[in-house]
Amino acid sequence: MEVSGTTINFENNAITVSKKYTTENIQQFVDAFNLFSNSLNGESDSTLGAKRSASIEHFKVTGFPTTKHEEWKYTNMLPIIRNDFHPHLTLDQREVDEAFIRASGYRGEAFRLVFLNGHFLPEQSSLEGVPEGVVVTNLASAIREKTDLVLEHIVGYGDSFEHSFATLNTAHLRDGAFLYIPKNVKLQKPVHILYLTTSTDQPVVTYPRTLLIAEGGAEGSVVEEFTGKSGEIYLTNAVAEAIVGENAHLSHIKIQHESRDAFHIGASHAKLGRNANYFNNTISFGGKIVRNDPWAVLEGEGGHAAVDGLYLVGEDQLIDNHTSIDHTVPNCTSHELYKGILRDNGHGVFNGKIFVQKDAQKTDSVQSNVNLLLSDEAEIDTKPQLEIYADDVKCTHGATIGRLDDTSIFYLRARGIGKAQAEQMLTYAFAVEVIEHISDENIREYAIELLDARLDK
Amino acid sequence: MSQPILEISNLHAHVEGNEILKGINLTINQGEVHAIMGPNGSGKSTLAQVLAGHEAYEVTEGSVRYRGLDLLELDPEERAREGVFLAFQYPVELPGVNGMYFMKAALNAVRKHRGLDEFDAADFLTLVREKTQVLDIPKELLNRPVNEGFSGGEKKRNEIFQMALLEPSLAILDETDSGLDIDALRIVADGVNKLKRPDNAALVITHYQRLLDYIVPDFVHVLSGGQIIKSGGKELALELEEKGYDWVKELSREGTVEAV
Ligand SMILES: Nc1ncnc2c1ncn2[C@@H]1O[C@H](COP(=O)(O)OP(=O)(O)OP(=O)(O)O)[C@@H](O)[C@H]1O
Ligand SMILES: [Mg+2]
Repeated sequence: MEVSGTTINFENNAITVSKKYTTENIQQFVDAFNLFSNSLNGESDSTLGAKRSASIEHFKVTGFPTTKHEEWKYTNMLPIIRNDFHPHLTLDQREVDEAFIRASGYRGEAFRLVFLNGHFLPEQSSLEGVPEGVVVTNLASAIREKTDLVLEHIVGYGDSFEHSFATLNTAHLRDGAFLYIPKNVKLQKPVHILYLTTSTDQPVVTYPRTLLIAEGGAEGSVVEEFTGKSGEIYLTNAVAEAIVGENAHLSHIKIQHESRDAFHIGASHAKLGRNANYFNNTISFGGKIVRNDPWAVLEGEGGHAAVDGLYLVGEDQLIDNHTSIDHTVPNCTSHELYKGILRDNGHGVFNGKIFVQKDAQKTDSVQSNVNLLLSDEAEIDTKPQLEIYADDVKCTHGATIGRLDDTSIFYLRARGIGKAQAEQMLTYAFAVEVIEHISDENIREYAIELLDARLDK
Repeated sequence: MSQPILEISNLHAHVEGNEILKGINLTINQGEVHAIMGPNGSGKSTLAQVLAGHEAYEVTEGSVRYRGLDLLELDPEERAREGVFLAFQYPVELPGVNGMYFMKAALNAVRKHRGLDEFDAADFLTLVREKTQVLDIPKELLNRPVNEGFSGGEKKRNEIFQMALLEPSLAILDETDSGLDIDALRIVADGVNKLKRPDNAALVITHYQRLLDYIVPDFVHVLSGGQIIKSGGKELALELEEKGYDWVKELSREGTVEAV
């Protein structure tokens, strides 16, 4: 067994006030659920209805995690849940701000599904030319038309997240995005899923749900994008599931640039079959408190999971990435690169777990978390973690925290480039490595545009 | 008599508490090429870095006037914009920074300072094409991240390419010849000679007389122990090659220090 790595662990010594959430905090979400549930008009009798009820019952017992919970140590939920969030039960056409929608998000080549406050907007979506057999639609339609397929996955293991927010998402499951790529079909254009949120009268909570299925030998690329009106307070509580069949390739990118006053909690779960290839890239720019939980499980031999992320944390922001890669079978590989840029008093958290189960011999796994600290007030808590139960594996992991290199800054300045611009160029250079892993050129360029815009501020 | 471009007087500089430059005096006039030679660790690169404005070096005494300006008062980027160019002995690798993007940013910063219009992508490309032809630099090199994974010679050529784009008034070449093959040496030297104008100047740091066959200096100085211990014409380089530095050190101990 080969295990190597360097870990720089900056534990936060500040005393975190770990408040036990009041029953009120929880009741508020339960009441909201009841409103939602009543609005479904009998739909709740279905298998899905039972699933929702079971989820809310489960939530009533678990409530929200506190900072005493190891996995939520740095991320206090109270600033989020004490807001009086309301689910947006019905969408009035007058609420559809077309100018805002057109100006938001990626506009390049793609099959596109657009949602506003959790509601599907068919008029704003573009699905022309979807190849025969491929299904790109909203989840509510898929539940009606592909009931068995959807239920098999969502009801099958959708609650395997040990995550109150994911449980709440399942309780509120109604709509979201659905992609099905049948055997050996290669999707030429990416699927762009745009989740937009705007709080009109009161803070809104949405529960978007994405289900991606790539059958054996299928290939596709998906970008989930989350954004909203700047300055507005809302909560996005998203869950995505991906099933990557034998020899299938799925690229699953998440770009989050929510309002700087919004909250974003997002979990994803991918299951990889034999020789499957799954690429997850989580890019976080927005939000006041952001939590990402990408999770990939290698279930068939020869699978490869690449789990990448980029987080740019600025003033009064907290971005917390908790990733898991689970090797359950032999001969799989995984590669993880998370890069963080920390500015002002921003706070970043990285916790990356690699599990290598007893049977997962010949696992080859590389994990690294690299942080660029641009301010003395910024903070990063990083913890790469290996849990290895097999003996013939190769795993490396490490975390570093660094600053911009003075020699590089001087070199740029010696060519006439001003100090601020030099720093920005080097920060960009640091971050762009993660974006360069995105294979679709248009999406890559879009992500670069967003990065540039954020670095300009 | 031509105007001085650079006047260094009694320059002392420290790095991390150690005095490296111990009273440098040197005047370079317009149209002149000066060569500095000297043993390893004598302070040649330190002098170059101090002139370019590296903050790790603390000037403790003396002054540097550059075209009527107090050079030491200026930030590194201001010096560059005013026409000081340092070709680094060890060019820095900048992973993730595209070469073309970098040079366009540099050129436009310099042009803006000089009150010239900024170059757009097309103009810039034309200029690059012209300079790469003259210096025989493969264009692919420029589309890569700056210096990343470049061979030693490629890095040096890239420095000269940058110099050709920025057209400095004072070019300081710190061992640009080391690591270059014979053809590259000639190309680089040609490039430097082409840039020569009556109103600019060059300071060439080298260990080898060979470079000076191509870039013929008006003056040669020997820097040793943080001081210029001997100055002369181009024949001094030949003499040094033949006799080594001990010979000059010996002379300077006997008190025959010459300065320009
Ligand atoms: N940043 C630094 N920290 C400590 N010492 C330094 C630093 N920079 C230079 N020095 C020391 O200053 C002295 C002069 O170095 P410098 O690089 O100027 O020599 P040089 O004449 O250019 O030598 P070479 O011919 O080998 O390039 C050396 O002893 C070197 O170790
Ligand atoms: Mg040197």
